[in-house]
Amino acid sequence: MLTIPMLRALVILLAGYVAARVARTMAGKAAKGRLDDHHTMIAQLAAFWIVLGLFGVTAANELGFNLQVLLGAAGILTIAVGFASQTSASNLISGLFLIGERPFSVGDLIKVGDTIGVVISIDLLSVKLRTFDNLYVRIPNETLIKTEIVTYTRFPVRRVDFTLGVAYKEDLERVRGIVMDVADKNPLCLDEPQPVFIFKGFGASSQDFLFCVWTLQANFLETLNSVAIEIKRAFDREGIEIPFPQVVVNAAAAPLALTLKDDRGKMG
Amino acid sequence: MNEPLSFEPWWGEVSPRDTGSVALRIGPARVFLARLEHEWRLGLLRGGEESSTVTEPAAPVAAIPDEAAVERFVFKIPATGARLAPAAADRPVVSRPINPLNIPVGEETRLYVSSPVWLRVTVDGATLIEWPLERPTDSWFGPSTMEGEACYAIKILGRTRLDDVVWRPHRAVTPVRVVNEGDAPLRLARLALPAPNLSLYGAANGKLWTSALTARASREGSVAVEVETGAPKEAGAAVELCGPRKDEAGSFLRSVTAIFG
Repeated sequence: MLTIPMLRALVILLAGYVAARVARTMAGKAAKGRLDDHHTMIAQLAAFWIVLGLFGVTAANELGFNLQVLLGAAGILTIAVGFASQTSASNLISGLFLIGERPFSVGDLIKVGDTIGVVISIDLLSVKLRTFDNLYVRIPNETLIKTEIVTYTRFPVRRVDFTLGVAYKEDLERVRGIVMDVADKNPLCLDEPQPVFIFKGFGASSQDFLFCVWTLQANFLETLNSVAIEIKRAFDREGIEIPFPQVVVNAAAAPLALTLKDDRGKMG
Repeated sequence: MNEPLSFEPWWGEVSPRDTGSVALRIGPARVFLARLEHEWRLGLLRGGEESSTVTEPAAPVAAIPDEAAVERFVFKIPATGARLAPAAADRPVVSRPINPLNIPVGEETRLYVSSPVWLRVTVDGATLIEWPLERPTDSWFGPSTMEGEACYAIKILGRTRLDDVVWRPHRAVTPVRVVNEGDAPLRLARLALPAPNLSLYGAANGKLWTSALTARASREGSVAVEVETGAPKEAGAAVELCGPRKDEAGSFLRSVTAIFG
C-alpha cells in the first residue's frame, strides 16, 4: 500500500533519474572538445551518479530515514567492505591515480613488463590491451602503478636505431657517408631531426656503430624495414663488408708441423 | 641558373576515347587515365628526374604499365572526361635560402620559394584522388621532438631574385615578403611555408604560382602571416586552379620559431 511519503519519494527518485540523465548529457557536451573520450565518459558518469545520489538522499529523507544513522551505517559498511576487498580497492584507487596522471590514452601503444599492446580500454580496476598477435590482456591497475610503462605513441615522431658493424678494413668515414645517403634518399626519414651516426667501439670482429634516423610515429615499421633493406643493398653495392664473428689464433711456441697424407686408393 | 622555360599547361580536361587509356608526363611523373565501361582507372608512375622540366600532353597508350600505382573508381556510367588540377601540399613545406639570410631591424626582403604540388583528379566535380607528383621528404618543424608539426622538407633553395627561380612543371612558386618590424635582426635559416593555406594559380606559360605571403616579425617575437588574395603580381594573368586546403582566415599569427625555425 503506497503512502503519501512513499509516493513523494518515488516522484523525487523519478525526477532525480531524469535530472541525472540531463546532467550526464550536459557534462558530455561541456567536455566535448576539451577532454578525451575516456575523461568525457568519467565526467558523464560522475555527473549522473552525483545528481542521482542527491535525489536519492532527499527521497530517503522523505521516507523518514535518519541520514546520520544511514551515514554511520555506510561508514561501518565501508570498513567491512574495505577489509574484504583490499585488492579491488587498491586497484580502484590505482585506477583513479592512473586516470589523473594519464600516462597513456585509449589507442596508445604501450609496453608493460614484457607485454606490448594497444590500449583498448582504461577501467577503474584494470586496463585492457590488444597485443599484436591479437590476444586480449587484462592488467590490474595496481600493477600499472607499481611498474614501468613505456608509451610508444606519446610523441608524434620516433627514432629508429640500427646497430651495425663493418669490417676493420673499411673506412668509417666512407661508411658514414653511405648510410647518411640512404637516409637522405628515403622520404620516410625525417630531414629534421637529422640522422645520427654514433661510433660505439672497436668490437671483437667489427667496428661497431649506431645509426639513428627519425620518422613519423605512423611510419615506424615501414621506416625500420625500408632503411634496413636499403643499407644492406648500399653496403653490397659499395663492397662494404659486414663481418662474421672471427678469431685470429696465434701459436705461442713454434707450431707443430702437420703434413697431409693422401691415403686414397690404399684401402680395399 | 636562369632557365627561361615555359611549359604546356598540363592541367585541364582529359577525355580518353571510348574505353581507351591516355598517358601524360608532368615532370618526374607519368600519369595514366583509362575510362572503361563502368569505371575510371588512374595510374601514377614516378621515377623520373625530380629536376625534370618535361611535360607531354595526353596521348593514347595501349595500357597502364604494371609497375604504375593504380586506383580504380567504379561508376554506373562514367563521365567522358576527367579534370586534372594542381593542389598545394597538404602539410607545411620547409625550405632554406642559399645561405642564412639576415634581415636587420626595419628592413625587408622578398623571397621566391618553390614547393611541390599534388595532382588532383576530379570526375563530375568529385575528387577521385590526390597524388604528390614528387614525393617530398618528411620532416619535423618545432622547438623539440615533443612539440611541433609534421611537414615536408625540400632541397630547393629559396631565391631572392625572380630571375634565379628554377621553374618546374611539378612545383609552384610562392613570393614571400619578410618584414622585420622587431627589435633584433632576423636570421632566416629555414622557412616553413604554410602550403595548406595557399591557393594555386596557373599561368598560360605553364608556370604555377601560389598566393603571395607577407610575414611581419614583431617585437613580441611573433610573426603575423598574411596570405594575399588573388594571384601574385609577378604571375600576370594567372587563373586560380585550386583554393586553399585550410579555411583559416587570410592572416594568422605564428611564433618566429614556427615560421623561421
